[in-house]
Amino acid sequence: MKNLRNVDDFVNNEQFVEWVLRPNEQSDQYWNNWMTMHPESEIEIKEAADLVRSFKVQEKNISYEEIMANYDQMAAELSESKANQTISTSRRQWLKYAASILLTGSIALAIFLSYKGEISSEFDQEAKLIEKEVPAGQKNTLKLADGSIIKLNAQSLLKFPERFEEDRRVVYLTGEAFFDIAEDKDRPFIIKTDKLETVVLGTSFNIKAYERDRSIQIAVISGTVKVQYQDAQPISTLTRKEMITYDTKTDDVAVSTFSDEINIIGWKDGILTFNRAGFDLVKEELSKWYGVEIIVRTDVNMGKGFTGKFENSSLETVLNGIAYVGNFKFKIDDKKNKVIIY
Amino acid sequence: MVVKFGFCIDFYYSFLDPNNFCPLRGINCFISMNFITFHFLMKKLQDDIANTDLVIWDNFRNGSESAFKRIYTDHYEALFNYGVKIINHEDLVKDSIQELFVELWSKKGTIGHTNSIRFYLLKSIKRKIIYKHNKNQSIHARILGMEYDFQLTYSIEDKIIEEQNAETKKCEVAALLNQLSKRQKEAIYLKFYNQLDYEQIASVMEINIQSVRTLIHEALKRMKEISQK
Repeated sequence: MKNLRNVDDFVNNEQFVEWVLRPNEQSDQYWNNWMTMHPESEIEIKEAADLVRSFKVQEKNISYEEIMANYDQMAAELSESKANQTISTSRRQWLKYAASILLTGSIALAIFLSYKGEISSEFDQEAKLIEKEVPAGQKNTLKLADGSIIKLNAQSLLKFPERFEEDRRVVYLTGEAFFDIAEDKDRPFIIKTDKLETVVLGTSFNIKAYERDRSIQIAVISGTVKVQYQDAQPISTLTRKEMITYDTKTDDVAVSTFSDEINIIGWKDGILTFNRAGFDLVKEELSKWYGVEIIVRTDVNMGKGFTGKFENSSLETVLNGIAYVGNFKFKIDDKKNKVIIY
Repeated sequence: MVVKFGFCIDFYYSFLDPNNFCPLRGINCFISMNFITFHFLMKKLQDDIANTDLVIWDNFRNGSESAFKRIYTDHYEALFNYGVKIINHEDLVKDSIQELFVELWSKKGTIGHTNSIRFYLLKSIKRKIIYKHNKNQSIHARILGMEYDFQLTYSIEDKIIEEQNAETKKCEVAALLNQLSKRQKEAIYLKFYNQLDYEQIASVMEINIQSVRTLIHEALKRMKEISQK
C-alpha cells in the first residue's frame, strides 16, 4: 500500500474513499487492521473520513435479481433486432442507390443514417478529427457532412469529425469563421473555442477567436445561438444583429448590437475594412490577409486611426490608401512576401 | 531457472498485494519454492489479469456473451445512479441503459479498447440520456451542451453531528453542501463514487483537466469547512 501520511493522501486513495462511503466486510477488516498497525495516523484518518463522509449521497441499491431480469429483457430485444438485420441489409443497398438519385439528398441521407450502418463514431472513444488549417493570405470554405457551410478566415484552424455523431455535431475553432449551419432539430451544433461554447440549432453567424487576441467575438447574422462557458454556465442567447465580446483575461462579457454587417462578415466576401485602426492593428490585418511579413523602418503616426474599406483589392492598392494617411513609403518584395515600410 | 522465476514473482506480488510481503522474506522463501508453488502463483497472476477491464472488454468485443453479461451486471447500478442524477426519471434512465447495451453489442466489432469500462459506460450513458430526454421536449426545454443539472440527495451521517440540535445542524450542513455547484458535485461524485481519475472525469464532463482540478479543489475546500462544523 502506498504511503498514506496526510489527509489528502487518504482522500485521494480510492480504496479508502470506497470504504468510508460504502463499507463492506472485507474493507472493514482491511482498514481496521491498517489503523491498528498505524496508530500515528489516527487524527488524519478521522479528518479524512469526516471530509469524505460529508459527501455521502443516497444511492439506490438494485438487487442482483432485478439486474438479471433487466439483462434478460435486454437480451431479448437483442435477438429481435438481430432478426431484423437481415432484412435491413438488402434495404440498405437500395437506399444507397436512392441516395445518389434523389435530388433532395438530405432526406435520403436521414433515412440512410437511421440504419446506423457505418456510423460507429458514437461509441468510439477517440473521435477522429479532421483538421483544416488556413494559412495567412488565404480563406477557405468547407462543406460538412450535414450540409453546414463554414468559411474560414486566414490563420484559422477548424477541427471536425469525419462523421457527426447521432446526438450532436461538434467542431473546434481557433481563428475566425463564418458559419452557415444546416438545420437539424435533433442535433445541436456546438462550436468550441477555448473556454466558450456556442450552441446552435440552425442559423448563420460569425465567430472570431484568434489565440493572439484577447477577446472572442460572436456575432449573429440570422437565427439564434446560445453562448456558454465550457462547463455549461450560460452567458447569453443572441439573435440577429446581436454580438457578444468576451475578454479571455478578465472574463468580461459585453453584449451589443451591430448595424454594419460588412464590418463583421465582410471578410468572407473579400472586403477588408478598417475602423479607426491604429498602425499595429493595420500591420496585423495586412499580414494575415495577404500572408506577408511587414518590416517597419520608420515611426508611423496614424493620427485618429485609419478608416477604410477595400473590396477584393491588391496589397498595393490597400497600402497606397493607408500610406497616404500614415505618411510613409513602402516597397513590396513579391518573391519574399515582404513589405518594407520606410 | 525455477528459483529465479519464483523470486521475481514473489517480488512482483510484494508490490501488488496489500499485505505487502517483505522482499527479503521472498529471498528466504524462494529457496523452498518448487514447481507447484510456481504454477499456483502463475495461475493467480493470470486470474488477476483476466479480471482487468482491458481483458473483459476485449473478450466482449470478440463476441463473448459472458463478458458482456458481466459488464452489464457489474456496472448497471452505477449507470442507473449516475443517470438519475442527470435526469431524474427512472424509466428514462432504465430505457437508456437497455438501449445503450443493445447498441454496444451490435457495434462490438467497431468499438475500441478501454482499460476503464466504468469510464466508457458513464460517458456513453450521459449522452444517451440527454439525447433521449431532448427527443421528447420542445426546443426551449431541451438540454444543450453542458447545461444539464446534477441532483444529489445527501445522506448526512449522524456521526458528523454530535450536538443536541442535530436536526437544525443537518439542515445547515445540507444547505452548505448544496452550495457546491452542479459541476463540482458531478466531479466529486465521479471521483468518489466511481473512482475515475482526472483525465477520465475531464472526458466524461467534456472539460479540460485543469478545470477538473479546480472543481475538485474548490469542492474539497468547501467540504472541509463543512466537515469541521
